[in-house]
Amino acid sequence: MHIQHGEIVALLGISGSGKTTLFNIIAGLLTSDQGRILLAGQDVTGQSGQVSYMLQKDLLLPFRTIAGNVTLPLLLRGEKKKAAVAKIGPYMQTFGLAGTEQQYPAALSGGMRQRAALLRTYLFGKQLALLDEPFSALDEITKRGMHQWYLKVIQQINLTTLLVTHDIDEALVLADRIYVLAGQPSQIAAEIQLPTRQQRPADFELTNGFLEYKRQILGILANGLSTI
Amino acid sequence: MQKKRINIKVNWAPWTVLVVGVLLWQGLVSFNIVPRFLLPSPADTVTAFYTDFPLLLQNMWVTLAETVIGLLIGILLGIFLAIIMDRFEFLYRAVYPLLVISQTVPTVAIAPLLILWLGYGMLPKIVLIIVTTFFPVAVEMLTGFRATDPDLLQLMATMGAKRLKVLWFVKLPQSLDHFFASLRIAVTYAVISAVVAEWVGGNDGLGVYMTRVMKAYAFDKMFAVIVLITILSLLLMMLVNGLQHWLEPWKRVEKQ
Repeated sequence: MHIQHGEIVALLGISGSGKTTLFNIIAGLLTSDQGRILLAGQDVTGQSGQVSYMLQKDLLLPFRTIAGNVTLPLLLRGEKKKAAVAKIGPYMQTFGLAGTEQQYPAALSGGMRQRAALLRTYLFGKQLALLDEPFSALDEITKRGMHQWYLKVIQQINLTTLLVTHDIDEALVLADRIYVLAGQPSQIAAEIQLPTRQQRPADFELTNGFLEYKRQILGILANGLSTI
Repeated sequence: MQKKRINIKVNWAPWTVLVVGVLLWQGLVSFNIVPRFLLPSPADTVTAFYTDFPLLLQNMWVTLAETVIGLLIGILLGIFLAIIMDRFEFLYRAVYPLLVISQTVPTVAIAPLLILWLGYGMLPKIVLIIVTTFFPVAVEMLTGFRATDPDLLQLMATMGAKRLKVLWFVKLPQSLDHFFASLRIAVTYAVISAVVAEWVGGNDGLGVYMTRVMKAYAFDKMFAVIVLITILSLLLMMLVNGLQHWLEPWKRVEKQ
């Protein structure tokens, strides 16, 4: 399994297929029985703090303002509060959070909180961002909005993303490439290369091509299930 | 606007009950249903409060000083214990059960010992307050630390946060609610402990004043000092509530 710089790769699988375990191994929170994690050629197996990491829960600290939450990775690195707050200014604009600096997470909508969590993840400043079902707690409409927004913002900030999801549509919309996990014990059953952004029509989600990909993935997942 | 009005609205019911109660009490004494030498009337109490006010005030400062000093040290000790019990699992397992058992020793029982060991000054009172207040603080803070979302701790780990940073940025602020819950208990414990220790032995303080007027059978003054101690506890409690309101600005948002 590999991820190119600037790529969005989705890891698709049913619940319990070990997606999150794999994530935690990459993040260095768990140790693997075998295999190694290489980041830009360097072995980072078992080391935490090497990649940015975001979960389904936004995990914003309720007692810190949005600015306080977003600057957290900078403060943890030892930066001064003032410098950190000044630094996040332009990003708050990009992430559509301008004006919420002094508000507490409880006052924000689910989508905004997730954007703030994403900005915090991004500001941790690692080359690779691990997103574990980042949008699955949101309602359908908000989720779609977040997908479009994410694709737009990702072009501006150039972030390599590994996305864990059980949502086939989400994987197809966001990813450049999809790894499908299936079987028991689960393994990578397929690697699907999707057309580039330029090649995709604006209504990609409604095209036959999209449905074809979906059919293919459902077939792979069903095969995996039949062997259980 | 609607909400603001609800917030300011005073609940009159307890005040009504209080006023009616005081009037009944006055009536019982005024109409000689209960003899005056056993039960002073509210008016007698107020008169005693007024005439003895300088003396009451002088003793109150002593008790208040003991309470505040003992409370502050007790709080710091409690937080410190919670932090090290949270950090070292073996300490938690070794110390925590003993702490719980130690709380079954009644305050009143150790007060005379402390007086014998430490004399008639402020020191034994302060020590007794520390002994009674550090426990609720330690237990509640530890509960708060342990209630931290494991996912949050994991996130902090992926951001490379060290223990002290996790404590400062996550565990301490998220335990504030627990802290204030324990502080409300600790404040009442502290006032009670100060008065009890003063009963047992001392030169100044509201407890000493109480034993003196008791020996003189001055019931009106007894009532006056009880009222004063109650007011003192209430004021300290209001201070705690004010402090909480000030230190938890995000709560104000959540309520809206």
